[in-house]
Amino acid sequence: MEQITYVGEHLLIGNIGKFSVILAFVSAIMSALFYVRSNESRKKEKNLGRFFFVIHSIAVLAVFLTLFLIIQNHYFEYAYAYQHSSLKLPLRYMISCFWEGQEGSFLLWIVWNALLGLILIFTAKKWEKGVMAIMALSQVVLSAMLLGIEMADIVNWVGLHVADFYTLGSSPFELLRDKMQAPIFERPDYLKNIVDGTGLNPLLQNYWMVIHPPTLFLGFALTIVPFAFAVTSLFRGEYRSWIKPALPWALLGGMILGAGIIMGGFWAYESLSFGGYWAWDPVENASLVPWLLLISGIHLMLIKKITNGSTIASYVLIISSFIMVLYATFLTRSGVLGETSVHSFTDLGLAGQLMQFVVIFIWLPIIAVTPTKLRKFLAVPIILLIIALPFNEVQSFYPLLVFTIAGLAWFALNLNKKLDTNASEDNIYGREFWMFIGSLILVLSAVQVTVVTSIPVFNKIFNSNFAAPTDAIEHYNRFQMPMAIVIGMLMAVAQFFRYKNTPDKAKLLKEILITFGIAVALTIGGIFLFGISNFMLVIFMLAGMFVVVGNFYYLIRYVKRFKLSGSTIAHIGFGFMLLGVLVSSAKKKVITADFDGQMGNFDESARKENMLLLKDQPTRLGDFWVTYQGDSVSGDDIYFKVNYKSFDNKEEFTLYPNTQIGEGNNLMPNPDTRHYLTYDVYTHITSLPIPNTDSIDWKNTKEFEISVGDSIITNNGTVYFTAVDRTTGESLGLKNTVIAKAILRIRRGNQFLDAAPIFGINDQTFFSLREEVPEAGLRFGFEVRPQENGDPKAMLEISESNPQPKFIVMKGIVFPYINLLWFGTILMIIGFGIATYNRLELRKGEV
Amino acid sequence: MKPKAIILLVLLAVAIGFVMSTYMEASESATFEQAEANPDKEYHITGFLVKDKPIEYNPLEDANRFTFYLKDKDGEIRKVISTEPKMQDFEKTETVSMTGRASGEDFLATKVLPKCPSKYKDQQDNATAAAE
Repeated sequence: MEQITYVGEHLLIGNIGKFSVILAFVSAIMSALFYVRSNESRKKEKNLGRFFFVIHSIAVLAVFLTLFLIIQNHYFEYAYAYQHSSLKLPLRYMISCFWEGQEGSFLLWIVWNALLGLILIFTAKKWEKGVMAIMALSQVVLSAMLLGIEMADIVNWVGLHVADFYTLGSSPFELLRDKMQAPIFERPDYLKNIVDGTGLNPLLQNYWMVIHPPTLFLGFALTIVPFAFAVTSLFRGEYRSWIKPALPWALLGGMILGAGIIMGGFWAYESLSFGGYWAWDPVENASLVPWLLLISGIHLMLIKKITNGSTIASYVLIISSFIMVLYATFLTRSGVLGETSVHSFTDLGLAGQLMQFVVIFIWLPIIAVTPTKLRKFLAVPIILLIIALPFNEVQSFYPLLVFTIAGLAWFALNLNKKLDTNASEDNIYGREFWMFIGSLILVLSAVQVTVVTSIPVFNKIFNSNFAAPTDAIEHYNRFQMPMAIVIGMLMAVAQFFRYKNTPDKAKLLKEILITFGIAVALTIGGIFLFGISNFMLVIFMLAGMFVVVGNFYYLIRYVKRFKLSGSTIAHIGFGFMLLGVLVSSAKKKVITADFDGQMGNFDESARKENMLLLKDQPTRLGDFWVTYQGDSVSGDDIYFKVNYKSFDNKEEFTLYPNTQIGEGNNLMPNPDTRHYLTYDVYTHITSLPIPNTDSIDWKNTKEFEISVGDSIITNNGTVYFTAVDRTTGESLGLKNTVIAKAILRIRRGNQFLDAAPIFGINDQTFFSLREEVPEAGLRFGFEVRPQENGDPKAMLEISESNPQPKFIVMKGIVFPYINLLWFGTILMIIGFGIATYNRLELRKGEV
Repeated sequence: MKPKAIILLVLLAVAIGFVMSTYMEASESATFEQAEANPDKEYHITGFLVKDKPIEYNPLEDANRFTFYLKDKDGEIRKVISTEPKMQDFEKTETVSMTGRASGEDFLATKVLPKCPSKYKDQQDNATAAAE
């Protein structure tokens, strides 16, 4: 094949990037190997492990910077820049281009992991060997996702000849001409034709999308740290001392991951048009499950630390929270979800590698509890199967599945045998008893979400054809609400118990009864204030009130020092979140809902939530008169001016929901929301008139002799001839011309429209410029005819057609008290922050 | 028996109940015939958009009525009536996934999810188009 010399490409930077990925991959392997080989007497290996991790981190930074420069400098010869950015993208969204693609989001994860590794080198102390070996191992697997090496090339090089084989990883530095086959790439100067990239998905052009993914990925990255401590402690056979150094990391992970999830919810609320902050979409669920497990794990770690109980449970939970992060990665990126999610990534053919990622880290703790002699026998077949996964998914998957399930059973038995089972007797007056139950219910909640979200995975494994729940939100709410209620109740009372045993049982009872009484009183108030009557919802509100009151009481009564207030504040925050969720969703009101039920054959349950608004015609929606007043274009966006005016005239505001006409005329609506302290008014466009491109068929053309002040009644409204405007032709670019404009006003119902047809005259000729007003279905022509005797006659020609009114179809929703939810979230995050700080303080002076 | 053990067993039973009920509820992708046999139940149907039959949405008449024709996996064709506005690029869709129930000759859909050709494919098409 003839080699083409391409013009204008910047190949050096991509090669630096590719080289850095390979360097990062190799140095992570070296770091892991040296860490594994190191021990107390082998300081040199440990230092080499550190050295290679630092090299790895520098390489990761280089990858990050080269990719950023490629996007920043618009080098569209690179597929990543072409597919995810464009010239007119504002600077602040350049960074969002990173995480629109899979490769960039893996890179983000790698960067966070490298940073965490560097911190752990300095702080992990005696845990450094195991923890860093695990960190380095995860970096090996993650950087392999970015390699983009054709395995066929390697295999052929060895001597075997295989034509089609799998590619290890997907490189962000791939050239567009390598990624796509098109005749254009046969031209050396093809780059001249690629003027601009295809741009960033408009939905991601939102400030929350700049900070939500990094936060979420930091949360994901943080879950590996407690995992690494737990697995290291299994290898070392120290089942309690890992808690202390791991706890601040777990708390920090809970805080950051929680913040990341809720930012995603807030982004959805602000810029997606499903009308809410949480849709139980698989992608949302995939990030919620690890968080639930981490929170559960944190509580179990506390029990282990204080009472030496719940050993197995704390291991299982901390390990599975990280495993579920990996599983979530597999779910959202392997393409297995298919059409069940609105925002999963495009399939890059990494399914095999993603499965490897999950399986490796499931087996790590199993190997850790295996007696040293047996490890080799177990590890070899597992490693072979894991390596075979991407090559031959089906054949190696099923043995691996069976093997792994057996391995997990083995893990449970072994761990049970190894542990001293002389933990304290269960005492229902001990705080740990109630914390334990609460943690298990969190697990139950996570299990339910996982089971339903995994339906497509089960279908793949067992070749079945189950469909996901038809109404996901209703389905999940039905299952999750009772669990949230129980968790709330436990959160409210558990603090009043002492660890191990509560000596003063009468006081305990009194405190619980007092706070419960206050909660009941507040709930009764709430029932009237919010108008909630459904029994289940009342109980839900009671749970929320009870959490807030119980923990608030505890905060004032018992928490003497600020740094000990973390858990209590986080719990109060959770209580407010429950209340916010309850009121904003139970009392959410679709104000555009069609009340008159004109669609005869539809039953009550069918949703009629969209409303047509004709331009300038006020429509009554809820407590507002709403008017669509016009639109304006800014760049690719069309903004619609929607004016809201309350009946009592106290409130008036204008919302600008917009849509971006994306590729293939996709309607990509962005809502606009007016925030008040006690409610939000949310509006988004659901449909627009299709612009008429055909020429209009004008009929009923008639001529009228008119003079200023006359009005003419047509089929499509009344036309008022208000004035004649005489000017020169300069405004039309005509010299020596006099023009006359007929200033017309059209009245259609409540709507007024303007038109100004033109008549022009110069020394040679005269002409008439008609004006069309498609909205009114009218066309006007104006002419001034000189008369032999007397003044010239003004003639108005009017043609009619079907009016094409301007309108929007929109949905408007009022969310009451949604601020309770945001307020509760912030409080909870603050609580996590205080608790993390406190646990860090307690670690000081540790060896 | 220790109270903790009892609670563990109860929660385990609930967890198993979750799995069972999920798969009992999770209906397989159905056909129009199945839906018509039981008009009170909601079904999940995936099928092909029939492109030579009308796709109608006239918001000036009714902003909440959108109709099209769908061919299910058995090849049966029915008119689908949805209460959601028409998605802007619906005509380009190949397959449609929806939930709803049968009503006489028609199918009333409460949720319509068009499966659009992916963005990636569009890009390839664009690149090819640009080259030509």
